[in-house]
Amino acid sequence: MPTVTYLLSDGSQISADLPVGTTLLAGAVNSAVPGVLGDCGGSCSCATCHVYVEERRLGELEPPSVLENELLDGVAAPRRENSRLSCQICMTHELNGLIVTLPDVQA
Amino acid sequence: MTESPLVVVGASCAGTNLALAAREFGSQRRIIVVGEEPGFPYHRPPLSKAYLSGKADDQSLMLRPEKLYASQGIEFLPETRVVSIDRNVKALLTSEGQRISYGQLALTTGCRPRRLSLAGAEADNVLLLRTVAEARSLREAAQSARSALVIGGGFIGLEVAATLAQGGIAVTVIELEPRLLQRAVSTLVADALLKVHRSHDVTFRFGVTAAALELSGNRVRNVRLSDNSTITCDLVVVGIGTIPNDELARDAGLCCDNGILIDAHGRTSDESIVAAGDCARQSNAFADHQLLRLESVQNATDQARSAAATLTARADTGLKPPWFWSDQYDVKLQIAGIITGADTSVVRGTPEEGKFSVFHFRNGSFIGAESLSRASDHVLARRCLGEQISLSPSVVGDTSIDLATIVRQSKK
Ligand SMILES: Cc1cc2nc3c(=O)[nH]c(=O)nc-3n(C[C@H](O)[C@H](O)[C@H](O)COP(=O)(O)OP(=O)(O)OC[C@H]3O[C@@H](n4cnc5c(N)ncnc54)[C@H](O)[C@@H]3O)c2cc1C
Ligand code: FES
Repeated sequence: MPTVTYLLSDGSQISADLPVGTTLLAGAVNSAVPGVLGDCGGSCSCATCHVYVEERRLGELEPPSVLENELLDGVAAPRRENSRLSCQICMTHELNGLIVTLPDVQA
Repeated sequence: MTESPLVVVGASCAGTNLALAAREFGSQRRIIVVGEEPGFPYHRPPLSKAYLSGKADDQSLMLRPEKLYASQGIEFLPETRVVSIDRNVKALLTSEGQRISYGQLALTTGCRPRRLSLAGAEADNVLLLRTVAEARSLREAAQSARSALVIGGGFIGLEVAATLAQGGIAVTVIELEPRLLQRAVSTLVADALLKVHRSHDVTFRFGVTAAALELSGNRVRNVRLSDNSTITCDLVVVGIGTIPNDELARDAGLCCDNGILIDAHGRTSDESIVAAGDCARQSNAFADHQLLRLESVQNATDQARSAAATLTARADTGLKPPWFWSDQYDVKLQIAGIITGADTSVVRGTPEEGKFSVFHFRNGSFIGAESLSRASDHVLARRCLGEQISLSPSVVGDTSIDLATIVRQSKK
């Protein structure tokens, strides 16, 4: 199973095995990663599942949809080039080893 | 942890967020969350959307992982109903006959769907939608249904209609009012939604109600409407509004009026009891201080955090503007603020294409916006309300003006 590593804002990290097809949000929730909320249940509405994806692998992800892109303007922490909504990123074999950093605020 | 426990009644969106926030804000008490439903708390919004269509499973509904609660020292008592509160001795009585003492009490009991008051309303194929158990029944019933009647053109009715129609079921929606979502959205938005539903072959009947249910065995076969016409269907879904679960509070002598009345910090009329979420009614700073009982994830989450701040004697988390969303087909409706009572409304975008926002004003002040598939307008509207950035009708009506720039400039 591919693995994702979540880097927390306090410097610690949590790695989780994610079945292909599940979202990075689901992975974070299942592993009790603090710092992600996902208030809308992953329906791309709340922008409380914000993560920063490691820059060098950004190009491997499907680009954000128009909706995700617009909603990213509403994240609580600063929006950066590598900001994504974790409920919109599905795990694939190719993404194995991906590292995402959590912002220090979500709401 | 020598203080007596914080007990939370109702284990869903508000209750869970309240318990977690109390811990986050430094509460040292034992925290016990008592909930009537089985299992751990879950997200309700997908029940009428991705869960009903089969795209989301039970695991993905989980509000928080089970192990988080243990790690935060939050205890759950599932399948337990609180039947009474004795405020004199600060104790609760549960349906299991257990007595639980509390030091602080939080009521997050939510609301329940209004039932049809017609003979036959308990038939096997007349379904309501609030809980995951009800969603499962509906999902199962939908598998063999070819036609469905949705009673009530509110958000839940419309979302269910959209999901069922996409599953190939012939859907009819009946609505008593002359249009959809009469009290919730503007005519322009209601018309746009109606158009999308019609393009998916959903039939609408306005100005009628269900007058009688004709049964065959334990199932409704025909529904007679108030205009004496009859609709034959395999499945009836009832979405005719909700009733707050405030009886527990009322019986305990707390002030209630279509919901448990709370002050700006979540306090009920008893200082050791707070309430939050769909069960609570509060003077709303974004609606001219009208008493409102909102039913939304945002409201449940923000009121929960505010009540937790009160219980832990922390400064309140601040005023958050109300917002709401609804997904129907590939259309996302987002509402920021409380838009009832507007005297001026301005359209931004292209209603013909179904991509537009309506910005609402009262006495010259911006009070909220509805956005259909224009999330960036919604995000900015929310920011303007939250940070009290003023917008004018002429600015929002001019699409050559970039709202983001206006917001950025006014923040300087
Ligand atoms: C199908 C559906 C779709 C929705 N879609 C959206 C959406 O798209 N966007 C949005 O913003 N909102 C949506 N909502 C609304 C949102 O889910 C609610 O606002 C939210 O769940 C409110 O949370 P709550 O904790 O206040 O109440 P509830 O979720 O109603 O939870 C209250 C809990 O308390 C329990 N309880 C009640 N009385 C007792 C008692 N005496 N003892 C023990 N337990 C008790 C109940 O069993 C229940 O589990 C939707 C709701 C539904 C049903
Ligand atoms: S969980 Fe709400 S936008 Fe991702």
